[in-house]
Amino acid sequence: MRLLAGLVTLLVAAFLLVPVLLSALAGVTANWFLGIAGGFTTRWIERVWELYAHTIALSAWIACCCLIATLLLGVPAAYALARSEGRWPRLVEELLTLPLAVPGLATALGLILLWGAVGNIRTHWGFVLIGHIVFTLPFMLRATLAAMRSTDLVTLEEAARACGAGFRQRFVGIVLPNARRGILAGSLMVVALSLGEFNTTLLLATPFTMTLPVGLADSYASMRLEIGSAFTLVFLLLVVPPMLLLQAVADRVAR
Amino acid sequence: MSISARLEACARTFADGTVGLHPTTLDFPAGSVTALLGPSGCGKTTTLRLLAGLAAPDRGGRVLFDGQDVTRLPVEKRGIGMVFQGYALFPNRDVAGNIGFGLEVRGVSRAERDRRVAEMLRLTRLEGLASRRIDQLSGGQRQRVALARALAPAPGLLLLDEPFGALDARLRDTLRGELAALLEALGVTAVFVTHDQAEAMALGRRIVVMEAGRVAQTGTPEEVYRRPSTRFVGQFLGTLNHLGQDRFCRPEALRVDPGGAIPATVRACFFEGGRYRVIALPEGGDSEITFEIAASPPMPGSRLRLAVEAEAVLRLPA
Ligand SMILES: Nc1ncnc2c1ncn2[C@@H]1O[C@H](COP(=O)(O)OP(=O)(O)OP(=O)(O)O)[C@@H](O)[C@H]1O
Ligand SMILES: [Mg+2]
Repeated sequence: MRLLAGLVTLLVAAFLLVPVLLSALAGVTANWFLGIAGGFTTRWIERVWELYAHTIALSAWIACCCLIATLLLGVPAAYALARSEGRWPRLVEELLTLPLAVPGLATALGLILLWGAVGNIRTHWGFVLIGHIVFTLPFMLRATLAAMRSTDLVTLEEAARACGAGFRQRFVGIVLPNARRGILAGSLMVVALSLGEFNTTLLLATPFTMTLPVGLADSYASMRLEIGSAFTLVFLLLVVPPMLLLQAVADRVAR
Repeated sequence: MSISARLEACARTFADGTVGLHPTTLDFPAGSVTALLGPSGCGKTTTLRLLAGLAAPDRGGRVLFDGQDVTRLPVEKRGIGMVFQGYALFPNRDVAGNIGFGLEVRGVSRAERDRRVAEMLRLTRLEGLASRRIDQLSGGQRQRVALARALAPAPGLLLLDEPFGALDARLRDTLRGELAALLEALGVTAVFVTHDQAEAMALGRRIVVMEAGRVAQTGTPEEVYRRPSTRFVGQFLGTLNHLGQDRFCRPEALRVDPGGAIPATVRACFFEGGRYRVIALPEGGDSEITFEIAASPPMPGSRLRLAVEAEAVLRLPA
């Protein structure tokens, strides 16, 4: 039984990882159609760096801004929802899952209709950021809200008030620390989603405000297969270590 | 240090129209220990929350501390201490962090805070647990941390909602004794909620019996037990024997007496350690009566006569 479970786990892992690994491998072969026999090279990686370094920097920057924005918007909103009872807050909470089902392209079109006429915002990276915030905010909100609900925050806050704590003192001293697991989980998700977001960004981005995944698509569409693959490799090298690090930090803090 | 509190024509209606408390006026003199006693849902917590300022009374009600109107004063400015029904300890802080929180938010210096926390730890017999996490404490320890946290800033009014609610019977007894001694020593005005009449009588110098959002009777434990004003109060505070019509008596008002006026048949007899509790059915009566005897328990089915002290008979109209 345990052997079977182990085998299934292995198969699932292979199913998930092999395509990514193959793609990454292709990035270091001199010519994919000749296979390994064609020899290895770092030429494609250098080329990717030349062509797309700006998308990598922009992606990191947008992920950071997106995290800050969703923290500033999502945490207070979750707090307000956790404290209120009744029909309306419930409804709001239900509605929050909706954007997940709306295709990213539709969201992007909506944003273009809404914001498109505002100055020359369409050529500014802030426009992509807005798209990312719209997409990731529900994740931050829900993760934080779940943590606040599970600790019976309302009673804890009443206890803090009875101890004499004013709003700022209880928010910083009791509310935030007791919701930190949710806030951290939400933060990780926001960063990961922002880094990988493609659907909405594809429509919102211009050649100068391209994020990493859009750059990836661009390289697949217009360059040699090896360059696209090299980009995958760069993507993995850049994204996986920070995400693992973040996860480890989050685990530590949450304990 | 301790203050007097007063609820003046305070009612509380919830958003859904439920009336938690009908207009009520209650006085809590400085240094008094009052028990709010009543069955589940009678409005005990509601009353306590009005005193605390966690809920506002309906229009027209006023809350007074030492004669000052505090109706509009938020909880955090009222200078009270409160022990919550489930303790509501802060999971993100250790024992000392919980106890010191009230001092911290008042801006008390580090040194003074440490001194005071150590004093509270000693007072509540929690020495050595200062840096324990909350989820590593037993139920009794949590209760004491909650008490220490409420008392640390030396409040003028201490409010306790079912302070022993979640504890087993033996522990309740121990902690009840500790709390009584502590309240005595501190002289703080205290109001505590309970649905356990034994606890109310053991701790409260004064008992407020509540029924369905109203005060049914207020008095010393002796008064409410010996002279209940309604059948409900009489029954809630202990066993009440129905002697026919509007006449009632407590079990200890009855004794076995060959010349007694009440012939009865013994139904059951329970040994309660120290004495026997006998349940009997009076001849021609339809409700069983209970009395206690010290020795020689009667056999079920046997007949005996009971006498009742005339001055112990309670007249309680329906
Ligand atoms: N937020 C609320 N909304 C509506 N009704 C409420 C609310 N809180 C309490 N009630 C109702 O008010 C009445 C009094 O409640 P309260 O909590 O004061 O009872 P209690 O005496 O403390 O009971 P228990 O011993 O079970 O704690 C109950 O009927 C309860 O259902
Ligand atoms: Mg209650």
